[in-house]
This record gives sequence, C-alpha cells and structure tokens, in this order.
Amino acid sequence: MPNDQPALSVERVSVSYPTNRGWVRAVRDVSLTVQRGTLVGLAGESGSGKSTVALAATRVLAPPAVRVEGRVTIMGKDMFAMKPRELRRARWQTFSFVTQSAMNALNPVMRVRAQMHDAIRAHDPAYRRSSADQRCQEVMRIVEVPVNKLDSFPHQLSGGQRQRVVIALALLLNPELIVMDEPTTALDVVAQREIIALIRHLQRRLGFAVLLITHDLSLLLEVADSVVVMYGGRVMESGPSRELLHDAWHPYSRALIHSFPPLHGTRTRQEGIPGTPPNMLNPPAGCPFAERCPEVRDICQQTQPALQVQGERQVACHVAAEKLAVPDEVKA
Amino acid sequence: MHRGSGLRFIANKIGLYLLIFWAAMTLNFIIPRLMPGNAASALMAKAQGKIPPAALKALEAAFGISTHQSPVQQYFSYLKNTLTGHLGISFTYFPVPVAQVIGEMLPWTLFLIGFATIIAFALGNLIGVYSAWRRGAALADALPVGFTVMSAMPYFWIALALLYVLGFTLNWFPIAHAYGGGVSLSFSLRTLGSILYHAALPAFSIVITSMGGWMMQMRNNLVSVLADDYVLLAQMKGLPEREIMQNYGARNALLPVLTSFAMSLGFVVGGAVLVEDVFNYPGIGFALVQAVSNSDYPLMQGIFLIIVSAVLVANFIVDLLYTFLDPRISRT
Repeated sequence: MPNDQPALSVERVSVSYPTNRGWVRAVRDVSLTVQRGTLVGLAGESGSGKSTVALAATRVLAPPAVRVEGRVTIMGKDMFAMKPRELRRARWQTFSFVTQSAMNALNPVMRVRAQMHDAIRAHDPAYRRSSADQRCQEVMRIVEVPVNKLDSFPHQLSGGQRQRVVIALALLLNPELIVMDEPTTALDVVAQREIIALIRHLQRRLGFAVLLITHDLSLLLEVADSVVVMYGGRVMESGPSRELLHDAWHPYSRALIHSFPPLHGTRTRQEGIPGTPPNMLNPPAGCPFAERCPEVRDICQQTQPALQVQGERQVACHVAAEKLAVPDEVKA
Repeated sequence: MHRGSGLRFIANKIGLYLLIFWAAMTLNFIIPRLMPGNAASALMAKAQGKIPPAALKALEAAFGISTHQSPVQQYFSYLKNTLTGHLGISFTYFPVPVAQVIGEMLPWTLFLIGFATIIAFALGNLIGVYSAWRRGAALADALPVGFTVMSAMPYFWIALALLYVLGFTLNWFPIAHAYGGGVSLSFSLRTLGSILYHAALPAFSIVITSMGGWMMQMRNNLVSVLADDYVLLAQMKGLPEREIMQNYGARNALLPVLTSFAMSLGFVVGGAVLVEDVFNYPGIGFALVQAVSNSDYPLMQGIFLIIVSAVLVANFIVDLLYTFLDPRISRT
C-alpha cells in the first residue's frame, strides 16, 4: 500500500434526506481529504451538515434513510462499492468512531471489559480471552484510566472517564482512522481541553488519522493540522490551521473564530453571528451565508460562489475571490 | 463487589413489602366491614326466613364474626387468624373452610393461567423483537397491526367463539371442566393427557388475546432502544447483528417489560375470571364468581388476600432479579 494514500478521501459527496416534500440536500458537493497520520478538523454550526458528511462517508447513514452521491475511499478502498461483509470487517479495524454524546455510547447493562471483548471477538478469528484482556488493559493505560475500571459498569464512571473509555474502545484494534464526532460536548470546559489534548497526544504517538468534528473552530485551529469549515451543507473554506488562525478568508470563518472565548487572556466581549442558518428545505439561490454576512454584496444573493483553490487553501466566497484575484492580476 | 450494600438493599425491600402486605391486610379487613350487615345476616337473608333467628348466633360464631368484640379486638384476632391460615368458613361451599376451597382451586389456576401467561409473554416478546429488528419488511410491519386487532378483542368473546366452534359444533375439544369425567386424579399419562386436552382451548384463548400486548410493548421499547447511541456504536464496531440484537437491544428493552410481567404473574393467581367462567374451569377465578354471586365474604376476602400476596411476591422476585439484570439499580 503506497504511503501517500490518504486515510480518508471524500470527493464531491452530496447527501439527501427524504421528507414529505421530496429529497432535501443536507450536504452538497463536499470534498475533503484526511492524510494518514494527520488530524483534520471539520467545523460548523449545528445543522451545517458536518456530522452527516462523516456518517454518510462511513456508511453509517445509508439508503434508504439517505441518498448519497459522490465517492469516498478509506485507505484506498471504495466505501460505496464494499459488500456488507467487507464493510463489517473494515469497521473498527480500519476506521473507528468516537460518537457524539459519548456519555450514552456505552451499553448500561454490560461491563466495560465485555464491551471491549465483543469488538475484538467480532474481528479477530484467533480471539483468546487472555490476549484480549491484555489489549484492554493496554488501551486503558493509554487513555489514563485505572485498569480496574474494566470491571465497572458505565454508570460507575465519571463523565471524563467514560469519554476516555470510549476513546480507548476506538483505539482497541489499531485503526488507521478515527472519526470523532463532537467528542467533548457533554464535558465541562476543563475536561474538554484535557480530552482534546489527549487526542492530539495519542494521534501523534500512535500515528492514526483523525477527522475531528466540532463547532468550536478556535479549538480546532489550535490542535488540527488542517480545517474544513462547513455552512449550509457546503464547504466554505478549508486550509492549514496555522494560516486560517491568523488569516481566515471567509467572513463566516472569521465570525466563527470570534464566537468562542479564549480560555486564557483578557476578557473581551464576544461577538455572536446574528441570524440563523438557512432552511435546507428551501435553500437560498446565492451564498448560504449571505443573509448573515456583514460584507454581503448583491452578487452574493444571486449566485452561488464556486470553491476557489489557492495552493493548499480553498474558499467559496465572492468577496474573498475579489481580494484574491487582485494580487494575481498585479502579478500578471 | 458491593456485597454489603446488596444485602441492605434486599433487607430494605423485604421491609417495604411487609409494610405493603400489612396495609393490604388492613384494607381487606376494613372494606367488608364498611358494607351493611355481615356474612351471617347475608346468609340469613339469602335463606329468606328458613333459618330460625336463633341460629344467627351459631352462624356468627361459625364465621368467626362476633359482634360483641370491639373493632380493635376484631382487627387483632383477624390478623392472628389470617397469619395462621384461618381464613374463615366459606358459605358457598359451607361448611368447608376458605383455606381449603382456595387450596383446591389454586393449583388449577396456577397451571392454566400461569402457563398461558408465560407462553404469551415468551411468544409476544420474541415476535416483538422480530418485528422491531426487521421493521420495514412487510411481515414485520404487518404483525403489530394484526396483534393490535387480536388484543382489542375481548378474550371472553374469543373464548365463547372458540368454545362454540371448536368445542360445541365440531366437537374437537371438551367444553367444560379441568379433566374428563371418567378420569381419576392420579399421576398417569392418561390423566395428564386429559388435563392438557381440557386446558387447550382456555389457554389458547388467553394466549392469543394477551400476546399482542407483550408484543407491542417489546416492539416499542426496542425501537426506542435501537435509536440509542450505544446501539449505533455497536453497529459501528462491526458486531454481528445477532449480538447487537441480544446484548445491546433486547437486554435493555426487556427491563421495563419485566415489571409488567411480574404484575401479570401475580394476577395469575386471581385467575382469568371470564375464561374460567366460560369454560367452567375449577380455578380461583371461577370461585371468585361464585363468591360474589353468593355474597360469600369470607371466600372473597380469602381470594383477595391470596391475590395481593401473589402480586407482592412476584414483584419482590422481579425486584431481586433487576439487581442482577440492571447494574444501575443495586447502587441506589
């Protein structure tokens, strides 16, 4: 397997949900790439379609619940061409998950150990109790939870411990890619930072790739290698974190960055983003963010801005495109 | 693990159930005494003057009702008599003691209604699991409709219809009693066969009418459990479907159903009044009908006491069972 093969490649994926009024496109033409061993962030407000992309790409959301168009490969394998058997085998071994609200991700009537063992047993034909036990202890040590908690039921763990156990579960079979969907939503701010730091640390040490989905863009910019910002089911901007952090091109990205208070430093008044995300049942003709954009122009209401590629960065914005175009003309 | 707290939990439960039992006994004492007259005068009235007034005293003594005692004294002698198994004398079956009447009727009811309830519960839950797991498929979606119609039909009506068609018209099944006239109650294959033959129709009518309730309850619980995050994660883990269904779905969906099962097991002792009456089946339900139509207060009181005890015992057992099935309970 060539080393430059991306862990996850999503190419022009659209996802539609059935409603009384026909199919509604919740996600349009989204492309993103997670290279092996990198941490890519997917940011956006709730309803922006960020979870939908991840779940559809991994075939957790599948027909007839949704309609998916486009192409997705994980470690070079075409996800939509896989047979159910292959898919079942690839799950957890090639890609695993840390789900939204990890607080409820553990079965309340089974001990942690049993919930780890069943995953190993489902994938390892040479499953043996003792070696599986060893692996369980290893992953518990990796996420820094006492090994004796393996014999606990989920309700006996604290929120932070449960979150760590869910991460340990995702590490169990050494996957190449872990999809983390809002892994810290239910935790307090301090525990959130701890978990994110742990994820970053493990990702660097163990070398797996992460697609981290969250609405907290400022946090993402601190930890992710690159970031994709979604709004109204579309990619608004993407690029390396260090560049977006200081020089976001899209007005939406800038607004999102300024919506979260820094944990340290002086107190400043936070700006929210006035207005609400567009109704996907009746999507606007132009840019989905036009209604709420402080820099809106006439053209924004009328035509959809195309995604412009500029080196490692991409942006879909008429205003940003103008600014980008100027230096190019000067150069020419 | 938490031995001490487990024992304390059981001790608390026993205390609680004793308190409830005492309250039930007290109600059972008070309610008949709120009614005008007493058992002896009811019997006198029923005899329409054929019993000389002088016999009233003798009857009162025989029934254990002495109007010379203060209510408090009556209450304590009632408690003592009840706890030592002296439930008074039935006057439907005069002069047989109530305890003996119940002792003869109870085994038939336990056998017929008990088995029918367990069969209905097991079948109903299995079908419920099937219809929730395969929902969307034609058969799985048709089952709830069919069984809702079935359980909406009054079971005495089904019983009467079965009795008329299969028993009376086609003569395939006996139409009354628990065993055939020429059969002596000894332990032989012939007796057993006759008992099963006589129980078939009444049991069948109970099973088909009560199965729907179990099925719907299980299906509804399971459908909501299947939407829980831990079931989603189990699917993401790539576990075999059967394992997800058993360990993650059914085990969690069964917990609330157990309480209703305990209640209905308790009520088994009360018999299925209408079915036993329709089939002239010599059980507690049949005895209760006799008791009510003959104003047989001692027998009614005795039967109510037995029903209350059975419901309490069944609930107690399920409470204990819960501590094994649901690890969250024993900690509280």
